Amino acid sequence: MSSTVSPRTPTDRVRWRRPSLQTLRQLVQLGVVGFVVFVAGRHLVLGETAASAEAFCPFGGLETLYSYLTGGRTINHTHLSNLALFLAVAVTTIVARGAFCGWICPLGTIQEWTYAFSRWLQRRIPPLGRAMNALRKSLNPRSARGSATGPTLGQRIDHGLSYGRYLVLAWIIGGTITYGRMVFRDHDPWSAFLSLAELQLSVGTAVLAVSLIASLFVERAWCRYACPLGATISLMGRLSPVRIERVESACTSCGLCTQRCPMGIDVARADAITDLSCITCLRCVNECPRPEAIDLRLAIPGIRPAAAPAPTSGD
Amino acid sequence: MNTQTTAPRARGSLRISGLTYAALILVLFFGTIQIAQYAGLWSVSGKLTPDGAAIQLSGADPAEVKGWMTIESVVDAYHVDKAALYARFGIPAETPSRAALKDLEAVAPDFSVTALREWLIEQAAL
Repeated sequence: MSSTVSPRTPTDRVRWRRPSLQTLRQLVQLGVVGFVVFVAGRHLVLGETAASAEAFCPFGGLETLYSYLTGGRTINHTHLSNLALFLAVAVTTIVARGAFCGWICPLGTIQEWTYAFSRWLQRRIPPLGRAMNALRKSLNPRSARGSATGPTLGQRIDHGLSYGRYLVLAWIIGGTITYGRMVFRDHDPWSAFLSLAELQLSVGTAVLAVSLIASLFVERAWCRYACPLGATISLMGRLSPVRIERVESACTSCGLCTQRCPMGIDVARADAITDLSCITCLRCVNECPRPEAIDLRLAIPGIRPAAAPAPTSGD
Repeated sequence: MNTQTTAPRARGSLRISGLTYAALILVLFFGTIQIAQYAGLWSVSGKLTPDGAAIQLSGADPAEVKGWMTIESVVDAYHVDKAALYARFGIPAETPSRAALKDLEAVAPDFSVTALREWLIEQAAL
């Protein structure tokens, strides 16, 4: 048996990074979903003596923030825990950008699982796989047909719908301040999900069903087009010094990063990912075959940029 | 924090390893919650104060009336006539006064906690 230890190559580094970090992310997501299921189950069994899972929703904190700041009171169905969770989301976002969405949000996790189930089905049913490939190509920003033809219909629709979550956020903030109650609660897919075990159906149940069905075709459809908490995080995330950066000179333009992005960001054409919808899941970083081409970085003014190693042939 | 350099960049930045970033997220998120709990900004039920004491209606501000409270507790705290309350919202006479307010909408279509609060303010002004 040889005892020679060869130097670690970029490829080795990718092999090490890919499973470990994404597995860690999925474990964190699984832990959060497990906690929510535990709380909801306990509430179902013990009734009003146990905390409702709604008490652990950070968006409830945003909805009650105005009432709490102006009157020292939380609105119905919200508690101090909602405010504390919203504060935790705000701190995490201002420092670490969209990490809550990519690493913690249970509704995002459920959509990821739904899309993974869809991919599993596509591998087993070839006609379905071919149809979904065509849809992905239509939505993928990398498949733009050039300046003469412009973006595809799918890209236009995707882009137009991406403003939907800001409209939803504006409606909720305006309605909550005007009426002093949670105008979104009956339409909230997360609230509906928590009520499923109690067999309570609402408009939110229909929104949840549509979101999950859409997630079979477009990854994280609710996050992309309608999530008001995601919209809030996007706006707050602009303050974050953390961002993903791509190095043009080291990039082979294979497009894997763009393909893997669950939010449909054209990572392969950007120098720095400042897109408001980035959830910092780091799939683009983990999937890149050239680790020196893309990284998560902390921008610090005053630090002198350093030179890169020249790309090696054969990569 | 890992400070490996990679390539010329428009401005200076430090590389953050994935594991460092994961740790940062968890510390920030759960650390903030922990600090909020220590600071008393934590309560998961409208029935308990942050100190764990049961919330009691003071009778001073109708805004403190919540759906989980009972007809009885409202009548006692605000000194209103129970029959007048039943008549105002069309609550069936056989409804027990220990019924939770949030359950009244099913038996009295005119009832809502918001409408009750407004009625309590009117009663206080009389």
